[in-house]
Amino acid sequence: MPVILVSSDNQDFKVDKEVAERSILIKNMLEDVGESDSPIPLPNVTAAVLTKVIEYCEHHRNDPVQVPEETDDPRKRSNDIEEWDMKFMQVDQEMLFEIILAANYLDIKPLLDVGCKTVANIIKGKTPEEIRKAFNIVNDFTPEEEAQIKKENEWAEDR
Amino acid sequence: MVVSTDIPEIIHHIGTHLDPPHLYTSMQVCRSWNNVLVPLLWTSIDDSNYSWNRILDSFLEERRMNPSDSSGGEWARGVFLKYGHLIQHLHITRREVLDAVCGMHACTLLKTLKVGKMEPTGFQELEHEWMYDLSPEEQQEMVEVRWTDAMGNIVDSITFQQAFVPRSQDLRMVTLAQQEVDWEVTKEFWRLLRENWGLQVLRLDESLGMFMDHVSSEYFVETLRLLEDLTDLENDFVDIDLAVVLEVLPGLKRYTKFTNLYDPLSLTQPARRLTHVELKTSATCHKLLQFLKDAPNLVSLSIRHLKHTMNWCTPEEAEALMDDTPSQLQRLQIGTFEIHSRLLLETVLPWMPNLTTLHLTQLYPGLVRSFVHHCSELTTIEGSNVGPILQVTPGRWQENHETGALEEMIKGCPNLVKIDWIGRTLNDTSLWDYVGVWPNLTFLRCQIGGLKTLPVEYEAIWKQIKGLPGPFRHQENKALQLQESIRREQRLVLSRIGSLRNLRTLDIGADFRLHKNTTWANCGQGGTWAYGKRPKMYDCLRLSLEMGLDELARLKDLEVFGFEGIEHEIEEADLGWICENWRRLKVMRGLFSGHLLAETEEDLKKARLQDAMRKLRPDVVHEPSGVCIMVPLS
Repeated sequence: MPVILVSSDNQDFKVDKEVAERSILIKNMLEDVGESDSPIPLPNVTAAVLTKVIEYCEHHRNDPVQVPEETDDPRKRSNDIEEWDMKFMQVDQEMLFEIILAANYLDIKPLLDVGCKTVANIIKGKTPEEIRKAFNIVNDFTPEEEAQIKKENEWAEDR
Repeated sequence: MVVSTDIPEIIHHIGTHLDPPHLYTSMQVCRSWNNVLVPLLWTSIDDSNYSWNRILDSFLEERRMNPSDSSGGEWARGVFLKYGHLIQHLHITRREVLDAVCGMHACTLLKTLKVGKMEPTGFQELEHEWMYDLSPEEQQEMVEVRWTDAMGNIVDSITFQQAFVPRSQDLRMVTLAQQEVDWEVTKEFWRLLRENWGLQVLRLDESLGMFMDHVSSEYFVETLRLLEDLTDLENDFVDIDLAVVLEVLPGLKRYTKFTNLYDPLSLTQPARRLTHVELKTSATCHKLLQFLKDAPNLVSLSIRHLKHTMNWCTPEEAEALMDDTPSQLQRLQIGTFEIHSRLLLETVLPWMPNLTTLHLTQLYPGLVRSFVHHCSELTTIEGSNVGPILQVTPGRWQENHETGALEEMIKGCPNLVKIDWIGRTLNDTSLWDYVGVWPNLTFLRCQIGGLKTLPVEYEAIWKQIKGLPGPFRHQENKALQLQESIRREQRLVLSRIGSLRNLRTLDIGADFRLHKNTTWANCGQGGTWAYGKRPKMYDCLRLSLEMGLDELARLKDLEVFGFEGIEHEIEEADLGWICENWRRLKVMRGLFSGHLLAETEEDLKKARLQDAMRKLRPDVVHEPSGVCIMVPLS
């Protein structure tokens, strides 16, 4: 049975229940409401973003439920991204963060992971200044604070 | 404009995909990132990693230049005071870090505490000058006063006032002021353990005994009693029996301990949670079987050796003891064997039908039959990196009573997936007549030897006539014939290895070193290196195309290839073939050079070949090979 999702800009999206339930938020809502064909409003997600999110959920509709692999060893943190996901994430930066926000709101853990891994990969190899430039962030540290952060944490440098 | 870089939840998520060096860079971006990422960076601290050593060494150097410089200690105490409460996993190998952690009382949420091997002193404390004005008797009195001061009002219970015994100190070696630090650390270290009730993993290295006072086993047990969540204990520091540990920690899953040789390997009550035990202790058949029965879910067991006693366990007794319930054991490690070991194995092995992995230091032909007969599920044979010297010069052969054992074992176990025993040599070339013996083998790491070599006199002749058209004199023809038969044999063995199509790792080399004064009993430890004497492996596989390297063309899945330390004869053309044919190759062991400057001819050749390889396949990583300790046959 299809489910109707309504974006913040009032556009309707008809998707299979199985696809919509990739979102734990929607899954829980459907379970709470029971059998009902009333549309589900998603006031935090625009139509453009929702289109992308649905595209992701369609592609991954048959994925097994992820077992979270929490690893405490920071060296084992892996940033491998599947080929399809990598292509899917080739969007402008604003959209990338919109997708991450939507994934967070809709509780779609694998999409959130892919989005955050993509950002992590952008960060790698950059200096703090380059990261600020890439994400349009203002440096609000005083020089003293910067020096202190370095002094206390430079053990984490890889050299 | 991007707003979501400001949302802590999102930044946290991104941070979980960054390693410490990248977290460090990212936390310098802005305040909001900093607030979120600092806790992530400090969750897991391992002072053997990243720049810890560089920073601590530079502080030590400053202190060496200026003994009153205390900036190092202040820095370490400062950061652990400020961030200690964030640490969940702490691995310490530097005394300076241990001192700071113990002194600051800030780490209270530890889940893992691993204290590894460390130097006995960090920032050495200078003595107070007034101490030198005292007479020897007054100094001795002062030692006692200062010890009582340091250790007085100890810890949390008066019951344990006797918990610590001061080590006998040599004041010529360590200042009394430094000893005060050591006493303080002893006291605070145990407090640290007692405050971290959530500890799940604890490792205590024996090097703690170099500067910490001895602790009574009663105090240790009382401390463990507080750590209800502890599941993994590696204890090389306090002399205690496993049974006593399990009485207070019934939930323990892993126990590793090396020091006490006299642990009777007996439990006073069943330990159902126990899955991994490693003890450097000997056991009789009786004790071993009883242990398996008491720890019914044991998966891996390592003991030093099976001990023979006068009233050894008969099969009937074993049956009565085990009550018809075989153990779940999958991995068994036994250090050494003796003359009666076969009988002992015949008694215990029937009760280990699920064994898949054997880890051995020695293996005699007489024992093989027992293993092969009883362990039908065996998929992995592992062994230590200690091996006998078989042949170090051409034509000189030493008899070895282990000869043929590993070959027999391999022939008897058709389901092998992994052979990892670089200390052993597959010598018997008839082994290679068994085509397709191990269809599932994915991992082969051992020496391959016993192949024909040219006697020295023919070697010289062969070098002279190599590539010449002939005709040849009698001796030269003989050299040609010999060389041809060598080539045929090499090609045969290579083609057999080439038929092991599932191989992912093929490593037939190591950093071979000769060891003096080593016996089997100490497993290669405690002897001394015979520097500059690296055995040459002449009777090994040659890996050139001329000798039949192309026979390995079917190893399409090969990911790791190793040939360190053998006379492999690989040149640029052979590397070209390797790069072309093994597209999945990721790691090569054999061209890695630890020296910054090439010194010997061998180093130069390695550097040249590695250069060539990097041009052809920049994706292949060059790794050092492990050390293999060659021990003279007794």
